[in-house]
Amino acid sequence: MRDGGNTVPLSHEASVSSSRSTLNNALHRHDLMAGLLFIAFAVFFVLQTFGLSGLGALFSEGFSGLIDEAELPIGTARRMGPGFFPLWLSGLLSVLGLVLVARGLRAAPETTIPQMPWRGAAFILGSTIFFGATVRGLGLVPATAIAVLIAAFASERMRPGLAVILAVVLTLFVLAVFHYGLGLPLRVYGPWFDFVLGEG
Amino acid sequence: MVDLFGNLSLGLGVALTAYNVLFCFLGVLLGTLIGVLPGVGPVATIAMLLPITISFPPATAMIMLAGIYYGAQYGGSTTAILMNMPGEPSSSVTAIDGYKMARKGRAGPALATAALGSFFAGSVATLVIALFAPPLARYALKFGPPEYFALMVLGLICAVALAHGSVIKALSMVVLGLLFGLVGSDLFSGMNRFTFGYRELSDGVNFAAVAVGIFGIAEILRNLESEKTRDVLIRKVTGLMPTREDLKRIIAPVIRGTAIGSLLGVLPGGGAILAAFAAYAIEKKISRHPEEFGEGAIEGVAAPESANNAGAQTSFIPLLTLGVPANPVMAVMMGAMILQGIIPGPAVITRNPELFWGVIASMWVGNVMLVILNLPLIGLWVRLLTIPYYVLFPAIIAFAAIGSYSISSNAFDLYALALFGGLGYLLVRLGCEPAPFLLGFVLGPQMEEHLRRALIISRGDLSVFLTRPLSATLLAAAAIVLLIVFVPQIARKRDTVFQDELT
Repeated sequence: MRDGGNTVPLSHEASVSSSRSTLNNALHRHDLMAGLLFIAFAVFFVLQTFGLSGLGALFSEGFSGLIDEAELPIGTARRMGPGFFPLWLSGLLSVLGLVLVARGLRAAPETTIPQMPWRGAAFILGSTIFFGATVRGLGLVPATAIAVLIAAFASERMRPGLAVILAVVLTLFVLAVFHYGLGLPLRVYGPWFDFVLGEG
Repeated sequence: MVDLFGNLSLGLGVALTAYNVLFCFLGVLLGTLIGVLPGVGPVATIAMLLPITISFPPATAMIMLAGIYYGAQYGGSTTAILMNMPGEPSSSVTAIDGYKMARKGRAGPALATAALGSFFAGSVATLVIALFAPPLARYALKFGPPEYFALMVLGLICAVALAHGSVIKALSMVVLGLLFGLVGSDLFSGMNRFTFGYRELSDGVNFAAVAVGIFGIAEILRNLESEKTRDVLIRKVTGLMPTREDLKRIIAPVIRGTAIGSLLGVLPGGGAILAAFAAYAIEKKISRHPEEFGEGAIEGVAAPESANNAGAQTSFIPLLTLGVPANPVMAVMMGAMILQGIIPGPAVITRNPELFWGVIASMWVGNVMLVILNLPLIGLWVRLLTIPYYVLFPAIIAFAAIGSYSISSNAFDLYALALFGGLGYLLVRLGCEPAPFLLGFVLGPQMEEHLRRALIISRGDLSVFLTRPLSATLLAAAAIVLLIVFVPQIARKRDTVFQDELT
């Protein structure tokens, strides 16, 4: 493959790596991991297409059973079933994944684990999951305030005081825009507070 | 010609209602804001605002969302000139000479040139759309399923060709996007696909959650890797107006930039960026003082700024006439139209003329507003430049979360947001661009539908794609594009273009 080897797809990679050879190795390791990820997705979609029924038939009736008994019928080119296009796409994706893996394996097997900003990822993704899990129960105001507080600490520069100010200001803004302005059908304080505030 | 004026006046009638003017203004204001602020781009912003616009009439929604897009082009050039930090990728060329001009104390004329050039380009591009979209749409009405399938293949291949970095990875991202696009109930058989029995998934993965996750959340995670403080070079911009000499120098570059932008903007895969680069390269080549380029040549601001704004606007042509988005922003616009119950394609122009012409006319209205917003109020934007990132991103998270939730009042969409945010970040770290994924994601269901229909008509004979002349031509074009990106010499040239962009 001609492409990829000497490209610099991302600016941060360029700044992380000082020498040309480490950069190339880093890119090839990325190829390997990206390839494996794509293959994993392809396998996932293929397994979902065939389902338990298809895989069971694979053992009893062989390959034709796999096609005939697939959970999402494959069909023929003339009458495509819901499994036809996904199956072909998965095939294409796994071929592309294999090419990437091959390219990654050709590179020197130097392994340094790339630094993942776990802190940022944990706080940011945690914040959205928290919001999803509690927005109905807690209501718009508490869920937004706490989600902002969680998200704020993804940055190493955040100070507690500033985070509280941000949470208050943003919550008020959200309340004004989404509740009063746009009439989002969502309680300001959710049912979890009924017990505290009394039935209302 | 009479038609054209009739249509434009219909459009102006829609665009100039108080309601639409207000939302056009909100759109361009917000666009300028996100263009100036770091770390949030038009794709994520438009996707976050999708849910809000559902309750608007379709034309109003599209007018506001379009305003965000071209408004961001204006805002992006402000940061490029004042801080050498392009707010939008398409402004990266402007930074080369614009920033040099600012350092020489000519920030004012550089900003004015960018705004006037953009305004001229925007006005011309509006006319270009009005002139060329209707005939193209009429032609496209003759397309059958094979032509549409071939057209989508070409569009996706172009997106791959123009993505940064590895072609194989970009191809893989398209295919992965197509696969995720198929999640949900199958139109033909009604069977649920890849839903794990979750009712929430039977309409497909929430489009806003995917777009915000992969473009918004993933971008925040990337920015948190290395938090930098932004230095603003110029705190006070004085002497805004260009001199008579300046004006004389920019007229021709603005016209050439507009022409290049209008032409390249129509191409799938990021026309505005390509147009800015091409316009800059051409000006440098034909200039009588090429040595000034890179040292603060005003032509180096005028041409690419006109080109990227013209390109941003003409990139609406493929979406509005063919139903094929040219870039990720158009993919989100397509999502907005579908949520409004309008299927993008050649029928829009006849079935929803007030929407089509209203959006086009609003672009001109929006461009007038942008000049007013950007020139006299430049001081306000300069002050906003210094807002630190760690104050901004919690706000983005809050809006992303509420926006994704409010589409269908569904907690499931927030988990999808987190999932696609994490996945998008991982893929970006592995050198895979998100743009081809999003294009694949929106086109997935339609591509399958056209493929199925084409093969039902041809009784399963694949040669139908090659025996119909138009579909054969489109597929041949796709093959040629693919071949070009794989040919080593051209591939290397493409690398250098994108490397220039990074430095």
